[in-house]
Amino acid sequence: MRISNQQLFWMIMMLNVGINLLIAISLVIQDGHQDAWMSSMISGLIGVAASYLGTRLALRHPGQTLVEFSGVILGKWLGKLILLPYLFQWYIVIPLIMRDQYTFVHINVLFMTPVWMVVGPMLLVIVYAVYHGGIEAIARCTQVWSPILLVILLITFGVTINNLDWKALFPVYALTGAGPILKGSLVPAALLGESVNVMMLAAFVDKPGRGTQRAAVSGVLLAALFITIGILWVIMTFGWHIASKLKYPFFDMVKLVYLMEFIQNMDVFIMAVWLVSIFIKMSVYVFVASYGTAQWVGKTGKWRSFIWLPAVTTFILAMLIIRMNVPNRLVLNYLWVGTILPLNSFLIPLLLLIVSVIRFPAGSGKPGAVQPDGGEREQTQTAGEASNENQDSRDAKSTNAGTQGKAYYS
Amino acid sequence: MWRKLAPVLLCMLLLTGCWDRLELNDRAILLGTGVDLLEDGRYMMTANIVVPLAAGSKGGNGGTPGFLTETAVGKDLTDAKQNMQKKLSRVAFSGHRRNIFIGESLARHGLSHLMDQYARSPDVRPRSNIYVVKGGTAQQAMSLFYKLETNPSIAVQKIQEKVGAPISRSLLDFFILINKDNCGVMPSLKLVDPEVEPVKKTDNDSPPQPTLEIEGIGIFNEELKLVGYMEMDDFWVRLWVTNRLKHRDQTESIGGKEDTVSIRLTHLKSKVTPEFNEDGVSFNILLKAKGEVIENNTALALADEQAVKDLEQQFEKILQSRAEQSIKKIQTGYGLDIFGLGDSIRMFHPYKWRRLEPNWENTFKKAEIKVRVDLNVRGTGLDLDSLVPERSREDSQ
Repeated sequence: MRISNQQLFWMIMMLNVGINLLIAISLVIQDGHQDAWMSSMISGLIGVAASYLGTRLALRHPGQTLVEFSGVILGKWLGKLILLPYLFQWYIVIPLIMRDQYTFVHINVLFMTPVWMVVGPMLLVIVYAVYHGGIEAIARCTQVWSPILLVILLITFGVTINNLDWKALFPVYALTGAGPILKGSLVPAALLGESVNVMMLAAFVDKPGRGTQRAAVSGVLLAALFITIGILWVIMTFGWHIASKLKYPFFDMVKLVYLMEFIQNMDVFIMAVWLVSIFIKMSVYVFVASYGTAQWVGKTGKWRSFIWLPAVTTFILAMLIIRMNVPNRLVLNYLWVGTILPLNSFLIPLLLLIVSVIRFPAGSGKPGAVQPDGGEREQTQTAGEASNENQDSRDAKSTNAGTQGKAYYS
Repeated sequence: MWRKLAPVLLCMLLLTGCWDRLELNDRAILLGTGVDLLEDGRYMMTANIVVPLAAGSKGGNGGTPGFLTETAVGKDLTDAKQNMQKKLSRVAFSGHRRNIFIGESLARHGLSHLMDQYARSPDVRPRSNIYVVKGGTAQQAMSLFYKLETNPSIAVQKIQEKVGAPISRSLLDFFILINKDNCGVMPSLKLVDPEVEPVKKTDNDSPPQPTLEIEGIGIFNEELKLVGYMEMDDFWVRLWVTNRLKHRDQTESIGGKEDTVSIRLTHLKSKVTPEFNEDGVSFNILLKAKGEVIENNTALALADEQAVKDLEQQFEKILQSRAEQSIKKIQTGYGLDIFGLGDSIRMFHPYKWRRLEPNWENTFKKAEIKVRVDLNVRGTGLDLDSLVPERSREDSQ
């Protein structure tokens, strides 16, 4: 399984753009009022910092995922212990996104359809993609869809332009002040901070290096840019009073499109694109969760048989969350902003990075020399450590990598 | 073979969307709905439903209207809709609804316990118009047979566009205003009879019928109660001051009563500048427009540059006093800032606004408002000089 830096870039972008445009916008505006776009910019910076930290750490241990290099850095048991928050995050985030997807689809199109019918097929498709192609299939899918997503978003911004009233953005700063603006930035920052999971993905990049770092950082930046424009547009369309009271203001903004009598009801496009973005995000998390768990218990080669774990927990948890109707605000404000953003996105990676720098100063040989697990990762790692000049031989290696040597890699 | 076929079969089963399947034939498309208040306090909903066959052929023209009006009573809108469903063979579907009508008695009673559904329900589009029916009920307005369009619901929306007001968003604008400024406006409709009742001599005659007219706006206070109206003569001033007016033909008498000049105003813009002094605020409103003379019944020879300049100045003065009067009327009559003057302070003097906001209504009532009009007449129509000889008009004065 190999992905390119470019694919990583698209993946990071896709992971962030969809979910933020859908669920974060009204929460940001509730705090940031007419200055919510500043909150969004700040959250972009926080997201960039997280992804920079993640890649920085991952690149010190090329070819190793977070699960592997945390063991290398902190030792076997401490390394496993410190991964628990991540495992928790991976397993809880998928049902939460699934819930958002269900709520959205339920309220807008499939009102009578039972929950399992909305959640189940989506999960099936995800499991199918992850099982057959792993991260590579997801990356290729992203590469196909991202440009389409970008074009549709740009068209959306274009056709909604005549509904905008720039006056809604004024006064800038004065009536909100620094506190609310910073507070508003926390929710999208927590979501963008999830980009720190690039630590799990960077190991699969075919040319690890500065390019990887640039891909991760610019992916977050592009996503933050689109979210900021989205927020600007929403405020200028509805004014912050209305926008902060709507559940899906971005979607409502697209519903307003009415141009030359026949360009209207554009919302279906946005819905389609958004579902693809959500699909990518959940697939990546299912992959990360199953692969991470497999490595965590030391059975890297058999990671495919671990897919059922996130799949089943997602199904059960999603049904549970939907039935209990856990409010999104609560989840985002307490769990995401309160725990996952500081702990998973910054504290743990920072700790790992510091220990890594102390234990393996630059030039002291390969920090990845310790290899606790066997199986497929060994193959990938040798590929990662191989010299970067000979692309062909590396491709051949990963193609022949044991059970993965199937036709669709060639 | 089966392994490949199985997913396809599975998809075929799933993609029918059986739970939410609703054929077009099973839907009754509502083009407009209206609400009135009954005397016993319940709401009466009236719906304008497309009659599929009549709308397909040239509906309406032959004498059969292309729509069906149905009505039902309920505790709120959903209740009324459910009660209406008892009379409908198809599922009432408001996804294509464009217009909402509010009867005057309901508007005076207040809309605060009514309007939630217009934004909450996923069935409805946010892009809708809402009208208050002046001096009548929503039902009267919606039952009217409008000949030009298949449906009176569509007609009013098109009229609104033709008078230069923004289209298809008065519901959203209403929501924005009542959230932001504690007052709201919505366009008002009126049922009007022809000025002179004509006699229908043969069956084929088509004399003017009672019809609908866009009359201006209804003004709502912070409790969403209708407090008054602004008629067309004042309505355009508000549109102009709030930068929403697209075009208007303005006719004024210069000198004698019959000496009228009509100027088509386009590119209308406004700029509100607040000024602060010890005892409050005053506003300078600059209204800009470009104009084209399209009718001249005076003796003015418009081929002469100086005459056009004079006309321009006279028009500016008249427009200025008209605008000032209209604003004064609202300011002293209702004390509601429907011109969005407070916005100019909020936007560019936020710290002063924070101090003024709690007592804004009183401050606004006392504020001195000065209007200046900057008109730029760019053309005088197709004639150099009027084809009506000048002396004939001079004599008539």
